[in-house]
Amino acid sequence: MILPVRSNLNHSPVFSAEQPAENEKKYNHDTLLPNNFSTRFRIGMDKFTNAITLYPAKGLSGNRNANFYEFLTMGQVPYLIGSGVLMAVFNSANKHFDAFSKQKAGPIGKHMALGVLFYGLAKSMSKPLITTPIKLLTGVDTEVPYAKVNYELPDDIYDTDITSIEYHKVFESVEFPRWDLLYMQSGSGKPRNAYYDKVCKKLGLGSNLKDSDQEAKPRIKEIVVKSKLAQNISSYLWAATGVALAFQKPWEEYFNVATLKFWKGKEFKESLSTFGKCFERSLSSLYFGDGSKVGKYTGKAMIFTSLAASALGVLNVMSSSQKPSKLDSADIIEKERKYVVN
Amino acid sequence: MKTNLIQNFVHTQNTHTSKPKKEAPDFDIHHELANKAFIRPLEGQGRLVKDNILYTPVNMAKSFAYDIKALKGSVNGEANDHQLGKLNDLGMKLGGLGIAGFLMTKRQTPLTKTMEFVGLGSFFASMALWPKIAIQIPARLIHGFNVQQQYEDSFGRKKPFYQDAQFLPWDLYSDDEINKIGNRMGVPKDIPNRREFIQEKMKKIATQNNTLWMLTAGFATPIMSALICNQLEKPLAKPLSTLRNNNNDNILNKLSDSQKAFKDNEIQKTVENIISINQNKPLTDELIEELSQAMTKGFDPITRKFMNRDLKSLLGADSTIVNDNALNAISADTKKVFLAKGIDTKIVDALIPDAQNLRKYFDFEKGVFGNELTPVKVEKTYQMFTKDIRKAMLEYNSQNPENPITKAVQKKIINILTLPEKGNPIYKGLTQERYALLDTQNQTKVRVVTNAMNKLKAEINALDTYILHKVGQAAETTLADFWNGTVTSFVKTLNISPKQLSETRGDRLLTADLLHTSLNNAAADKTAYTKITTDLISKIGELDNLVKKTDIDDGLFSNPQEMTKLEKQLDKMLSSFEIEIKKLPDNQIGDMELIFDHFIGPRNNIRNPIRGEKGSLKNLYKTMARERLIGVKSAFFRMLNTLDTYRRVAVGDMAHLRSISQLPRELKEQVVELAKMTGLKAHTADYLTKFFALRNPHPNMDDMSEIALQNGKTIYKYFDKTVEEGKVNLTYDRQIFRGVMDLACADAISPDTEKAFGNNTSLLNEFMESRNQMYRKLGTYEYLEGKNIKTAVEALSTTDKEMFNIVGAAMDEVVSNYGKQVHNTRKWMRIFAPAGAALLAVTVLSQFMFGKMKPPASISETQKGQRNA
Repeated sequence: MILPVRSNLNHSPVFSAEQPAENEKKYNHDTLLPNNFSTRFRIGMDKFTNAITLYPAKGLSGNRNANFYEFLTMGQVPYLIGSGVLMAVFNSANKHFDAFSKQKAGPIGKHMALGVLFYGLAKSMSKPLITTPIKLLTGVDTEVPYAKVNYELPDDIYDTDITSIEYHKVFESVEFPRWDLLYMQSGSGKPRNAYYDKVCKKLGLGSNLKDSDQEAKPRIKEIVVKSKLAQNISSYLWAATGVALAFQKPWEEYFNVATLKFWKGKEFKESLSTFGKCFERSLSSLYFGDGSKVGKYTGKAMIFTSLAASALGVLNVMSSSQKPSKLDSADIIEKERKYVVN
Repeated sequence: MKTNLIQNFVHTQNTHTSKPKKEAPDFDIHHELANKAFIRPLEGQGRLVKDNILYTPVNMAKSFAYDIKALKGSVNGEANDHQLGKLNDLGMKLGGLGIAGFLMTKRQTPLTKTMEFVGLGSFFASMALWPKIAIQIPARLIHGFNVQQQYEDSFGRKKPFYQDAQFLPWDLYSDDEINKIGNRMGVPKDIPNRREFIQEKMKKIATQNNTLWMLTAGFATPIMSALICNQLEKPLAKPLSTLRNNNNDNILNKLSDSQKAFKDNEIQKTVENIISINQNKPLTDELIEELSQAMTKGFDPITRKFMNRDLKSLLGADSTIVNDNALNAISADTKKVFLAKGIDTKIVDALIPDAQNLRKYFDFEKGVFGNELTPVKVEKTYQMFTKDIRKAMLEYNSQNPENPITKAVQKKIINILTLPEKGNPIYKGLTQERYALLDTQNQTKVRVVTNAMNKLKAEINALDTYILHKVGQAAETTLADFWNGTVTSFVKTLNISPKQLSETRGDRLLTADLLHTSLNNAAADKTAYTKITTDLISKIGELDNLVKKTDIDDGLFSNPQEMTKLEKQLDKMLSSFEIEIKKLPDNQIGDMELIFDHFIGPRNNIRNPIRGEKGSLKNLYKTMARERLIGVKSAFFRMLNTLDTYRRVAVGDMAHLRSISQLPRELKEQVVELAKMTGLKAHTADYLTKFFALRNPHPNMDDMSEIALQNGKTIYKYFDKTVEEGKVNLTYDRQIFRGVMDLACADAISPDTEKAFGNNTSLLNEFMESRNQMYRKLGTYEYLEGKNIKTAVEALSTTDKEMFNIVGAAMDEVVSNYGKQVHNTRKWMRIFAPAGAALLAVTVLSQFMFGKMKPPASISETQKGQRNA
């Protein structure tokens, strides 16, 4: 990295024992992060706040450091605004209608709004259905995040803060996964290939391998590709099932008492408990149908298709087309053990 | 994905040992391979995508093939980031189809079902169209280049050129292209590194536009999608309605074929299931009820009730049998009831024999045991048995004179013995065991009836669908579509604006005032009147094409000798049912008489055959269709007749206002206004109460002048008087009532109205008949207190239902309801259309601010500066 040559002509030198500001940054090199709730929440919040403040400001001013990461992160803006507008499209005009039309249009609009909400929730909540079993079965966490230290061009000659932190995932790109972050550091006290050793063992590729990383990498790549495919397809099917759930009649009871005014304790409690009841009844209504001929099957079809997509996704990940190349099969296959052969 | 040639080369160098078959004479491969300079990056094969819209189908096909390949590769774990990204889009579309498909099943009509998919399509279209319309095109016009330019990389993958501002494959743009864009952007020509400056400017503009796209898409996509749906709904409604109507005609025309689609054999399957479980079991009431329910699934409750009775008679299930079970029940239950009433055990044992003795009694003494007991025989046996108990009571008293059965106890016993059938233990015991069994013979009978019902159900389902889709009171039926189309066209030709409709919506009084003014204006202008009436008549005429008179009788000019297709099919269907039932062994069709009576109408000795026939299923099908049709037609004929009344008044030709010609002017004015208002507002009840209206109780009977007219508008002398000026609400007035009825329905119609019918004389005749029926039937009722105010001597007797159908809907209600729909759509549009327009404006205008960069000093100036220095 060639850093810009700083002009000292109009710049007062700093005579201080304090470290320059950039060294105070949380990360000074690309850092693997634990995949837990607090990290995910922190990253989510960071991305969200940047997506609605910093990145649009950078983008609209045509900042020369604006990059693809920022563009992608801003992608959540249309999702969020779009959800709100979609809800408004079906609800905001209703208050101007006469009582009868209002009564007819009201529940439709509210079902639609709930559908938008459930779409998003079901889509994001269904992804762990793929990633969690894969992590448990293979040891590969396809979602593991890392902080990337990005060096930018200085905005002007006084700009000394030329780094920005981006949050990526190690397996974000299947073509260029950040393998390097998965090797253990020399000071960690663990063997350099500890991560790959663990994965190889879980995958049945053997233990104490000399070059477990070379053995594991193609298999991990395959797992990541298959897992992404499964997530891409199944999450939208779950989202569709979420919408179908939101369109069940029992929700109309909830619409009558729904409130987000948590400071009104009694009403809020009633709203929550009705939500629970309606959720249960709507689920049952989706499964058993609304009494119509087709209705008996559509709900079941949606639930089972989504479940099947998730299950098949995981099964496909677990069935590998790749065989260990460097080992004799006799060394690997334990005859007493049961294997899933693809 | 293209082959990676470098890797291939390295790989083959190590493993490939065989020599090429033929080497080029001037090309030494070994020499070339030894030369490391040979291994160098290949020439890039990327290109800017400049396909025009004509290539869209080709691109779509290619993109689909790419997705399939990506899917196949991903399933096997071999895919790149680009392919996985495409599969995300595929997943999104799949999910979208799932949502649309599910919501479609929740919708009942073709248009609403279609709109679910239109909604999905419009959403995806909006996602794609918004950046093109609001970003790409304006940016091109403002800055001269495509900010959403796509390029194809060396591996044939299409990507947005400006997706990653830090990686822009500028080499794909030639110098000429860049310079041309620079010229268009007004970049000075003599600046150093001009290409780099233009590139930086393009990058800046593209980054700004990409951000703008992200910020606006969330607002734009749902609004744009909703607006597209809104605009597509009407154009889609017409062809879908025509398609449905044609399909419907096919149902009626080919009922024997179309019924197959409605056959689900559910009746047959359920009955077979019941038979298999209950083979050779007694035909108890419960079993008969179970069979009747299964056989009449989907029919009305009366059919089930009659089927139950017919089945009992057909299968001999009315007969019972006295067997050991029955005797045990009679003995035990009767004793229990006696004891519960506090009768002494000794007495009970003496009067009611135990089961063993009862068997001797019924078997040897009475010969009843084990034989068939018809209902008549049951009654006889019951009387005989209770009589013997009474006798036993007397015997007991004679044998126990010191401790006889007291009169009070005797009374209790007699009360028990004479209990009604339901609570009577003896009666229950005698009827609890069925004589008939569901044996082979009875199974055959059940199957014959089941088969007939199964077949009939399919045909009835087909006819139900036909009638519902044609004239049913539901959305998107032929009649509903016709109604909506006619009302829309009528309001439009009356020049009533959406704003006026919105303001008067849901308020009959305001709507009536609005219509009154519009009709007065229209009637005063011959051209406007001709257009309105011609359009309305042409619309009404369409109904005869949509629902042909030969298919369903609308009751106007019907020929009782001529059967409609619907009647023919009903006859055919029920004859075929009869043929099926006749397959019963021993021609037991007589046992199914109740069902036949219910379906077709009483066939034999029924007390009131006419009433029975009216209530038959066959007649209900006919009348339901006819009445819906005549109700709708009457409403539009009434509109036309009201228009005609306005016109005749506006022209003022007394030849067409004969009924009021002899009235004094004040009454003329009252009659004219009331006739107009009746046409606009009246319900059946208004004809019954002979029109409540504010009138002067002491009109000026001397002023015999005509109503003054100015440019077709009436100028009243008396009518505009107020309550304060002496007007009161009169409940009835013979002269006024007759005047109104005569003016509206009996006077000759305006020549302009007649002309508007053109050659359609049959419709004109129908209209005249409709007026005639209004005139002769709506004034028939006597008002309260026996005031005999009728239209004229020609008044015909009628029924409430007939009057209701003739009156049809009131125009003010029709238009007021239509106003609600218009208001709702308008309100929605007034919120979102300006929001969409404002968003578009902001998006486009802000682009004028993009790409502001100060160019470096020109070369000449720099050189000049250097020279000066």
